[in-house]
Amino acid sequence: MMTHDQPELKGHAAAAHTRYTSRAAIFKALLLLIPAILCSTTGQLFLKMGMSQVGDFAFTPEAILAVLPQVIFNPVIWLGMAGFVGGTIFWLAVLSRAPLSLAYPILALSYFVVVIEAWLILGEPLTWQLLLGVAIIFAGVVIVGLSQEPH
Amino acid sequence: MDNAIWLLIPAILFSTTGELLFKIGMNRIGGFEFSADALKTVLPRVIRNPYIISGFVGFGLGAVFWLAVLSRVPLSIAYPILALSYFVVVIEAWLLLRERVTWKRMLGVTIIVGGVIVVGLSAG
Repeated sequence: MMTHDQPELKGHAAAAHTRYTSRAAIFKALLLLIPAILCSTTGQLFLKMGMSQVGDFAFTPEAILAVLPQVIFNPVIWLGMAGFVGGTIFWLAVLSRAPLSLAYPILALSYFVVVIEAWLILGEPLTWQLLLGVAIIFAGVVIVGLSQEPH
Repeated sequence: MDNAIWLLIPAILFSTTGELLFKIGMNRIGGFEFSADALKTVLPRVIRNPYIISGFVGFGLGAVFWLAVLSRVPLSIAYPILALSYFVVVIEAWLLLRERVTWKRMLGVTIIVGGVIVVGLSAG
């Protein structure tokens, strides 16, 4: 059960948000996006580290079956999966408290975070062109988020 | 790296089709309250629904291809390209589920595709 304060109704703008709570409560919920983004991006980082340990494999059924135990029993891959699950839990917590049209574009900051983490921690190259591409993707996600129909 | 990046196509197609199957399954089950009691009655129906089960298979196959991509392609290139899923889901939902797609949403996903192309080109 949600036990937030009832919002004050001041015309249509406020009425559109009656499902949610006060601005302060929504802001607090959006703060949960920080662990959501950090868990899922760090999870991807671990998946990448794990798969780098496993190494690339030919894309044949035999090669996949041979590599599967290495993937399943790799502890770093498990950390990656755990990050993914943790991120999903925080994301669901955000969704239960804040409007999707607000939360979704903010989640798209993950693209920047992954690129920065891969640069800092994995030493992957960071180019201006890559950052530009990620910025364009982010702008697109913001527009998709704003296109949510009000319920 | 070179051709490994193309493995992102099956990765995206499998996971987005999985998403579509989840949506079909959940449409049949219908909306439910997010309470413990409601979950108890709806969960057994969810995990036995053939669409939901197929959706999980799609997800699993998508994950196999994603891990194959990660074993060869830098994360900072592969991860942004995964954003093509936005475009693919919207097209699939429009064609197969006949969902209404507003021009604003179409604009948004088209811009995402533009960004993905820039990221792809940056990989040289």
